[in-house]
Amino acid sequence: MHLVVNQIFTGIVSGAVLVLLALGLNLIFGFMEIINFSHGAFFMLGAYIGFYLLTAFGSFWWGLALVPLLLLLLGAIVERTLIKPLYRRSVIDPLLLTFGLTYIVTQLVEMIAGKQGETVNAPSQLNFQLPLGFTTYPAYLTFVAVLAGLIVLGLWLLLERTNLGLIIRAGIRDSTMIQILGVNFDRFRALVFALGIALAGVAGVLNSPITGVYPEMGNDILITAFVVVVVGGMGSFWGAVLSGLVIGVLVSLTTLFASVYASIVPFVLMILVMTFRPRGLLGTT
Amino acid sequence: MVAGAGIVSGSEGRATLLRCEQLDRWFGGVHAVDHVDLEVAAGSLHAIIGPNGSGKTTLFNLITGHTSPHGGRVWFADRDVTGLPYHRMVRLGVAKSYQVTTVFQSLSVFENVRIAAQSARWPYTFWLPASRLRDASRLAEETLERVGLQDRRAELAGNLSHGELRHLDLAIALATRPRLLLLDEPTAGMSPTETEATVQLIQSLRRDLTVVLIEHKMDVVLRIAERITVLNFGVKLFEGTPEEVRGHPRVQEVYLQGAL
Amino acid sequence: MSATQASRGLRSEQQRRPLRLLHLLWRGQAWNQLVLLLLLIVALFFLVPDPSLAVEVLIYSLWAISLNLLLGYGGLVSFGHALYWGFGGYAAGLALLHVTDSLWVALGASMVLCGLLALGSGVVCLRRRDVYFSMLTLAFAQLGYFIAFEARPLTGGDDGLGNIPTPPLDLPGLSLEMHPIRDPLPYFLLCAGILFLAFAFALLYTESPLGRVLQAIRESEERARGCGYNTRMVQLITFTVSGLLAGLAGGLDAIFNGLEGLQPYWSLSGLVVIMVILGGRSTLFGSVLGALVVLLLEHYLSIFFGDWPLIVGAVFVVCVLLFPQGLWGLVRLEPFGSWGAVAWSQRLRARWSRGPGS
Repeated sequence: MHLVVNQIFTGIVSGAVLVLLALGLNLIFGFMEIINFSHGAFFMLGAYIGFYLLTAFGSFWWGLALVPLLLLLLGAIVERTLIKPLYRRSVIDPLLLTFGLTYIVTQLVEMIAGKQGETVNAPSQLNFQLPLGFTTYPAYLTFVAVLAGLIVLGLWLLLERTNLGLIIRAGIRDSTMIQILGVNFDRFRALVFALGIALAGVAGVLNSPITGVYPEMGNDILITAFVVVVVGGMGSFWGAVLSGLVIGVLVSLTTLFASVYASIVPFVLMILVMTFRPRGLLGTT
Repeated sequence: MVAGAGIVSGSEGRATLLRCEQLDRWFGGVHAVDHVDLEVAAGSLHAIIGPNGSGKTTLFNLITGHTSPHGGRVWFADRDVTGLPYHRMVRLGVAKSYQVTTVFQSLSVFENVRIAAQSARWPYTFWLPASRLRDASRLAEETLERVGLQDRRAELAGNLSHGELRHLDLAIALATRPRLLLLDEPTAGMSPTETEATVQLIQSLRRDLTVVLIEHKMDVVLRIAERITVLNFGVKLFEGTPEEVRGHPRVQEVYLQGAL
Repeated sequence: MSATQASRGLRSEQQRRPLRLLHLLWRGQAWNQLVLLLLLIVALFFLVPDPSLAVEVLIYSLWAISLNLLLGYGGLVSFGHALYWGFGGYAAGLALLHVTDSLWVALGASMVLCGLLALGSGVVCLRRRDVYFSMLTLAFAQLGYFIAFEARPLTGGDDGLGNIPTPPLDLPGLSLEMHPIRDPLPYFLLCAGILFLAFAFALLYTESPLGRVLQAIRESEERARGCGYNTRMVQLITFTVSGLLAGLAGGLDAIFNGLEGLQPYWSLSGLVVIMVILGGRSTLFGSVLGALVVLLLEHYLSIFFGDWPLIVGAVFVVCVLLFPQGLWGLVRLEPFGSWGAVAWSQRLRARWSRGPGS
């Protein structure tokens, strides 16, 4: 029984990471109508940068603090230089570009850091077991879940309670309209993309003590993140949150009871949802 | 044909081609179409007017099968077609032109029309080149001539002017050989000259098919329509000849304020 | 007309013809692509020093063409095309290992299995459009990968299905033993023949009424419905044909290597997408070019440079940004307007028809 509860917690934690990725994907898709195939690459990049900051400064917290800022900048640069020229073209081109970007980023990291990857230690301050009801649970993992929850809340507040959030939501709803209203839509694209990327990077840093860092980590999780988005309902904030947690827990439990099938749980779920409820759990048509 | 529920002699003894019975449709909290009845006689030119948001386009979509009704039925040539998907309706002979012009941008004007023309007989053929379909090509040529675009046949559809695009849109619809043609604001965005040309074109269509049109330009409507249906907030306000509509006080109040 | 004038006119008429041929080739009339393909095959035969590379180019070209039907002509971005390649390989391999020693039965098995697989997965994937479609194709590929991985007794798991015997080439009148590694020539000719036929079929497909509707759907699905077409059916037929041809390619590859290995399907699918886009998605010949270039890059770069995917990726990104028409568009110098090859050949033609010295 302890084991099941622990697995559920683990599922929530891995789900939390997925939620962060899915929210970034949703933002980018909703606002810019681009499927960001490079999202996983930035997840991985964030993790690696965090790792290097850890080895350089000896502290995990530097990574957690600096990675979002660095990736905000990087995201804005990437959007301005590579993605902006493609807006006038077909829907497919930005998708292809971000896909190509993944190839390049993954290869670069492999060149610089090697293929094997590294293990990352959880910050020493959190290296203990937290008593949780009748069982104990690693404090770091709890921290990840809590921090992710705070970030989700913060993002929600940003979207619902600030002017910036208003513009973003309006842009998601009807991009033509807000351009007519005089908003410099173009600059906001860079901002939204950067924001999405930063979320991915933070998720990467948070995830690194759990799975270590290795060049392929982005690709592996990207597919699942897409499934989360699609199952939750493309463009739906709480849909992504719900489906991320659900998928995280489902995969975790499947790993416990029938570990062979754990890797395909997301896909079977996606196929089922697409067949019977195409708009996703909380999506609108 | 057995005289079933669908055959009702309309005015002047003509058969009813299209009959809508208590069509009803909600969108969220908006009652877009509110128990609307409509009868269109074969060979007539019927107009639907009403302020913006009165449900005209939704009514069209209910007829064509783009939107499924929450209540009511649609009868086309004595056949219950309620809920049939749009491509089936096209096969049965109902065609629609689009409010926002959609054509096949990177194909030539001729190709645009030929694709419509070939659909009746050769939809799934992949064993011979399309250029071999002589009857489809001929139909496409004739249709292009009818709308006056035969000189632009080799041009890419994406390069046409707005007025030409509307005519191409019409040509595509015509090439499916419809019995009923639904035109959604066919003269929108056109200059007076272009409008006149389009009106002439629409009137020339009357000898082969039935036309129902949504239009905001009152002078056009009053001039060419045989029968006018007035909608307001999804409800059918009034229906009659142009003279009757012009003189109806409620219609004047709701819609024609100062337009006459 | 004087004698000299007449003879001058006659001469330029004769001189005009080869230029006209060249002009026709460049102008890209669809059927000229077959001629180009033939030329390419001949070039491969004589110019590529490594014969197995030449065979791989032919096989991957077939695979790329099958994807282009979906991607370029249909506008449907599939990230799961490796599924049919892989399972086509398994079908052929298993057929040769357990059931038959006929080449044609094995390849037939590949096509039938993959056709059915594509039909089944297409029914689900095509329920949704755009992104969702792409995601669903990816999901099916991952599922397929999982099955291939787990079904060790059948597929060999991640060791792959090995020791596939090479069947003889049975044609009416002769039966030729093939040893693809020692003497690739017969296999090269086999693949060349199959590629040529498949290309011709695919070309016919794109020029047929169905193929034209497919392209119309890419432009505007709504309008295509408005012409009376069941658009889902058109796309499903294309999806099935595409899977079928991909399965054929996979089968050919497995027989050639004697082995059907297992790579992650998602990155393998990415490779063929790159081939199609790089080569030029608006023509079938473009896909052949794309396969050629990517394989050449892989072959020659990997000698010097372990990270050849980086270069391919960079070239791909540059291509998407600057040359959306791909290599084939570049070769025809489309982006460069009046400097393009078509314009030049027109100018040359005009000059010749005026006669030399005028």
